[in-house]
Amino acid sequence: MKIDPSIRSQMILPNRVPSKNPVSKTVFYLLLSVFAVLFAMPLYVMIVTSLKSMDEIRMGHIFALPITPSFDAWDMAWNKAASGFDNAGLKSGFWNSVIILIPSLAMSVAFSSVCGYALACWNVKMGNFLLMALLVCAFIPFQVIMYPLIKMSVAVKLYNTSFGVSVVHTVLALPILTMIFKNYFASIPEELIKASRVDGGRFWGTFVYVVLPLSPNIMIVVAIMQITGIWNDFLVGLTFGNVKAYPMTVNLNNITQTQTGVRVYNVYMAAAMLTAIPPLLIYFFSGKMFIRGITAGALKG
Amino acid sequence: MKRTLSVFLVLLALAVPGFAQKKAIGDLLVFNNWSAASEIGALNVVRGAFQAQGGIWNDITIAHDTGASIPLINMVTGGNPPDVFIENNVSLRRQMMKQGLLADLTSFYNASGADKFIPKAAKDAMVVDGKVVSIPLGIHIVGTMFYNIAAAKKAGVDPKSWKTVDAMFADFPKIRKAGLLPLVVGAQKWQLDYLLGALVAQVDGQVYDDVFGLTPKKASIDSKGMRDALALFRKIQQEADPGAANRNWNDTTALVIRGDALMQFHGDWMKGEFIGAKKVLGVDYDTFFLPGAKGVVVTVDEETFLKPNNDTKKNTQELLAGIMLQKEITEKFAAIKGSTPIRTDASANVDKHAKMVLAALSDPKLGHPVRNITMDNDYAGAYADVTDAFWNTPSMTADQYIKALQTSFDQVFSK
Repeated sequence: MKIDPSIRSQMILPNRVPSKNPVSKTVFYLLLSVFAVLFAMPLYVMIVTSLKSMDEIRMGHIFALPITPSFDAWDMAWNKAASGFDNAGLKSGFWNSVIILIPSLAMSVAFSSVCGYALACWNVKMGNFLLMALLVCAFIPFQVIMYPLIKMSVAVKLYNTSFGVSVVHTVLALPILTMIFKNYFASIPEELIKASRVDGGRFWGTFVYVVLPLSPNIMIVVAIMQITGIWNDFLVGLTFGNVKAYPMTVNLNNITQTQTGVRVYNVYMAAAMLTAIPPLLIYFFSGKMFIRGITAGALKG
Repeated sequence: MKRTLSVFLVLLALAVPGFAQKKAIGDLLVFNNWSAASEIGALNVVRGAFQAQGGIWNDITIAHDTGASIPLINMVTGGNPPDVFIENNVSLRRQMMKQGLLADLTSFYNASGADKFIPKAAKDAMVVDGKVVSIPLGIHIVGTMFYNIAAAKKAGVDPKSWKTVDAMFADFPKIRKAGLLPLVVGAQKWQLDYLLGALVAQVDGQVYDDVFGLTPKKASIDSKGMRDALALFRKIQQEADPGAANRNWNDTTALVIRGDALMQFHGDWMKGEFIGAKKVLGVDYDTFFLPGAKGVVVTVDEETFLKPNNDTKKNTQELLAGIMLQKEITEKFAAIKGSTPIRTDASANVDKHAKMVLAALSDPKLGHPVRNITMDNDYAGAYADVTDAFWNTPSMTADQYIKALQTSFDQVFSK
């Protein structure tokens, strides 16, 4: 469809770069470039450092390109770095992290979406009180309740197991995720729920056939939040984890921490990037859905 | 008959411990907060010997350097404690001792015959309230000067010829004229707190023990030794380069290795950086204690043993402790870690720096345990704060420093 230029000039077009004025255009792109460089700079330093040898790093030119780039540090970080007595590198922790991630992702999304659905679409006794309680719980820092949680997990025989870590992640995420789901489901027109009821849909039927098909965006948002949070978690995994199967972040910490030992910066940089890659990939592949999900419900009164 | 019986009993009494030590060796869970390649390599010497004698070694490695070992405490709380752990802080160990959690190795240690070879500073670190609870692994000296020999030649100075600290400072203008930084340090809080401690020991070992020791005395904070040390500390601060702020010790060492700076005053774990850069001790770089040292500060790495719950565990712990005290093991350990062996007689296969350290430590008055082994945590934190403020506030006087530290002393100990 063609728009008549005279109309076009009167239309308000959001999200467009001012195209007429070359000065403001230049300033605009200049600012964008400056910010992009600022944000990319640490990543640039990480990448070039990981490709240098230690002799080059000792020269102290952190911004310089590597003279003889090599992937030795990456190989070292993944396969051979000392993170325990066996020098097994990061790879040993990768699968541990996956084993922790999958159950906790499934459990937290399953439980919180049902709770959010019940609170948003059904009349729950003392629903507002429950919501208030969730709001309060969402803001209690984990560190405060760490010791009681340890004692509780010992009592139910989940302490020092990978599944125990998954359960703790699920419990800690439930309040905030339930509220996110509740807010999203509240934006589903009431008429749809009513229509489902007229057609004989009850609690689960309405959830599975009406509500879930309407909410892929919010699912993606929650999944990304959870994957990032659980993958990057250090303290829960360290505190509750199986001592033989700590997550990757504990490995990363072991590789990069030392007070009086020699610091191999190239390996540290490679290890940090390897650990950060999985959540990054998730962002790349579902970034659009993420933005859509975030803004869904944003304009709701 | 009676005699036969008593002979039999004596033989039995002799045989049982021998039998028990040979047979009932089990497993140990070792909690470890070291993770650098050199540290793990050194510990693997101990692990290898332990396994060769039938011990089963399990380990958990969680690197941290915060002093308060949270994962360790979590494991104890959760009812799954390790059998052996590395944690030097005496406050934590004393707390665990009060709760009856620590093993008592006193009689084992006395019977091992190693006592006469262990330097006094290491002994101080092994004992909590009169009982041996830890076995040392290795030693580092906190205040050691490392210098670049080529840089010294370029500047036309000979660090070994300095007979006093003043003579050293007198050569600084000459070194600067050659375009070199004379003396670099990394001004991070923990480095500064180690640095001042080393200087206090340098000028007066007794004052060091009275300020940083197990039973600190408030009066010693206001002493000539403390004032002299603060004056030295201020001097080093004024000679420091602008890049010192918050610089890691190893990045500081890189300045010396590259030849941008002549020397660095810090812990002798610096040696690892020189070795990593393929520099040779005595050819490319050399080390010395500050001239006229009245004391040096010693860090002791040690394994602490938790109370065994049966005889097999006890035997296994003693097997490990015995291995750690062996002369050859301590030598091999030190060579890989870059530390100094804990036995003064273990000087055959070590480098010239370690020989210098062992020679110094054979004088029981010279070595003093580093403050994080002996000092109360709160007091240590306050001391580090005041020291950091003193470094970063050139107008702060020694009087102000002393008053601030005394105030902290009252706050911590008058509870």
